Amino acid sequence: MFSKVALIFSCLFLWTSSAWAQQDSMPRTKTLKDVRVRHKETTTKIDSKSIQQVELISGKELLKAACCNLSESFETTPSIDVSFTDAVSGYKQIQLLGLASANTLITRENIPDNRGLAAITGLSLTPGTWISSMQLSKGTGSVVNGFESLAGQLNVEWKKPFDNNRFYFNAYQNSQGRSEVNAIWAKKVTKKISTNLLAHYKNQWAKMDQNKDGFIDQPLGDQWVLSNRWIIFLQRDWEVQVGAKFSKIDNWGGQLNYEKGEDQSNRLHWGYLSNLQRADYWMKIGKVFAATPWKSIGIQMSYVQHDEKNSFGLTAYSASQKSNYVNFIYQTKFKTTDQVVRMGMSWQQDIINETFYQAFQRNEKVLGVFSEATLVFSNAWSLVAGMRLDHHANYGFFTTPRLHVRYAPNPSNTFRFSLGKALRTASLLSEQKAYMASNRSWILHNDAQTSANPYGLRPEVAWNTGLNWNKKMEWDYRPAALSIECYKSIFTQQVVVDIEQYNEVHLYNLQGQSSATALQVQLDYELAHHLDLRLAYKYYDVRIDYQSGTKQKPFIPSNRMFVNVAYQTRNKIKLDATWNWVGSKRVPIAYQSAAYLSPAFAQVAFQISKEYQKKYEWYLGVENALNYMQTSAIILPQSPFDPGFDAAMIWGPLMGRSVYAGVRLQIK
Amino acid sequence: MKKGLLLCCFLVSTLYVLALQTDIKQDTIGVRGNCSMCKERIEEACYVPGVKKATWNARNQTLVVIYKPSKVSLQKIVAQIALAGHDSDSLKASDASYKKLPDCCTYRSKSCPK
Repeated sequence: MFSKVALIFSCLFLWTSSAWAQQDSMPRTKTLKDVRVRHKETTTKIDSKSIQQVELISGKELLKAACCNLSESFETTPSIDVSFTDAVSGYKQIQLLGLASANTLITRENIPDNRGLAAITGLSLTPGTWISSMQLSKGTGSVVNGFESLAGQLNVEWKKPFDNNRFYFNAYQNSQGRSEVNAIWAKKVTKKISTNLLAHYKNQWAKMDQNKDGFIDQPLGDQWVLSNRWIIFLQRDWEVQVGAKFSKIDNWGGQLNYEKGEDQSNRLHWGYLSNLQRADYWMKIGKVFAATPWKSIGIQMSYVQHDEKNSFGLTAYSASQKSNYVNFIYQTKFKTTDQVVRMGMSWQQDIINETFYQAFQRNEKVLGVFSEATLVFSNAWSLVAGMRLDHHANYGFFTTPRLHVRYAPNPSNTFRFSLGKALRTASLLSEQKAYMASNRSWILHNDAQTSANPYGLRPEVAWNTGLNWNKKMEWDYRPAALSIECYKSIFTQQVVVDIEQYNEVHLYNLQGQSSATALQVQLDYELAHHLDLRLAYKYYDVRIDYQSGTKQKPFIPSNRMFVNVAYQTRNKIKLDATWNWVGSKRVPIAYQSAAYLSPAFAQVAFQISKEYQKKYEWYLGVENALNYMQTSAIILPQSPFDPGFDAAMIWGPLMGRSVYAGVRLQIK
Repeated sequence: MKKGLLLCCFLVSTLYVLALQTDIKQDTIGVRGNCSMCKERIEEACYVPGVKKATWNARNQTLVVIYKPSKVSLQKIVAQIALAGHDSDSLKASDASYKKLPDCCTYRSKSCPK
């Protein structure tokens, strides 16, 4: 299978490059040199100037699909995979380079967000309509933002209060009984003080069971997210930002005839309940020296309080988190502005208390110093080298080296190399919450549980290295971009989640090897004026040494293909179509079912939208147009209190075809 | 799966055929305008079937257009520009089309602040 795909892609490459060579031999006049200027902004592009590989995902890209929240924002971005965690909670998780979302550092305007308990749930707490743009960098990120990001960093920029839009409103409805309303008010109080208020409300009110397993596909209930932030420009170039965000989720689901809050001890109807409250507070103070713009100082602070209570049938899980974070950054130059250094100090504390059959309490305190040099040697060569030294109250001192090198022999070719180390405490229970939607026994193989290290497991330590090549071309006078990326992550320490026995989850320290290899080939081309094509192919090889031997990590497809076509008509009607093919995944053994490879499937989505006078816009779309669903997604759905019941063996879509419509309104 | 491969092959062969063509002409003509809004309007107006690329330069007041003479003529492109309200070397826009331009783009009476 893989060889076939590789063959096709190498053919594609040969053909296209020969076409390119052919065109090059054509006579060209000198005036063409001036024609280089790109007058059209692409919705997603790779910044060829930045030393790290950074994909800029603009707000326009997000408008191409339904995009309700961050976990659903990557339908047209092949770099990120999205899948359901389990068949009852409705949460989706993202994967980058074949690694779970907790390995990607998600930052809100460069302040770490979604850490700890919110690794999965936090994605649904950033509404898509609040986002103005995103920057996705692959491979270990900058040391300035911490030591955790192994697979990459996703920075989310929110809509700014000093934007020209005074009011923004969006309403969304789909055929599966989901309604959403988003609103943003912005006000410039004075010339230097501006504020915005952001609100999001989501309600799932229809009981849907499209895959006919007797379970509600999407939990019922509602979700609120509210935020207010202030940006103040002070004298002498000081800038202050203060913000707060409050989120609340109240969801319930399970068997169709389960009533919310029904007593589970009589084992009548299996139910799912989830209650989440989270408050984020942050403050940023910064100054860029006007006379010496290479010099700046900044301090970032945040405080998070997170509480959640969940029950999956008879299994209860509750957790709370209090985190505080301070990061101080000073930037200056060595000799010239081509040699910039950033250094600083950070403090991070996470107090996490969990109850899952027993109490797990942890208090992680990490104090660290870092330094990062950005050296631009020439137009061709540049690098960023960073180093952190942190002291973790439980693990002691550790270092985090990181290196990014950029080599651009000419403006149309850019090569990048990255190498780095990352460390992270796995928030085991919250990250593997999906397996609570089963009757598996949880078995923790630990050395010693101490108050400092409640799980008794080692932190995850890994190295990641990557090599990529970006080529910009012009075929038939229209721009084309090709990117080939290869990344490898090697874990030296890892908490292995072993579900190779059907009624047990084993959690233990890695004994042996664990690695993730990811290859991506992507081609972007403007087929005709206003007709954009994106083709992508991805290959993953994620293998872990389990107690039962070396195996591919379950539920990760080896192959994935992606085609997106976007067209804009003369009267500004936008049409968008996406074809997403997911190859087979390894599905471990389940009750009365041997381990197997899931069938490959394709998902197709369409959207049409029209904007009027840059004020009103409507959109209409179909998701999963082929109506492909994983049949019998739940093991033993008829007897959910028996040991074999499992709702977390998910490899495919759980929801069928969905038609949606929405409106957007902007007032300047 | 098979459908996808077929689609890929189709797209690739289309690209190949497109790149092989030799029926291409490039012309530089003078076109009046002011700002980035003008640039977008002028270039958009040029993209009729047969036009490969149109790039307008505000400083030189010139438009470089690459097109297939078998499909479209320069007169047709110039007519489209005039219809959008912009004067060119060979054709002046009608007053009716010119009056539709936003205030900033009224290049006959003033230039846009840079």
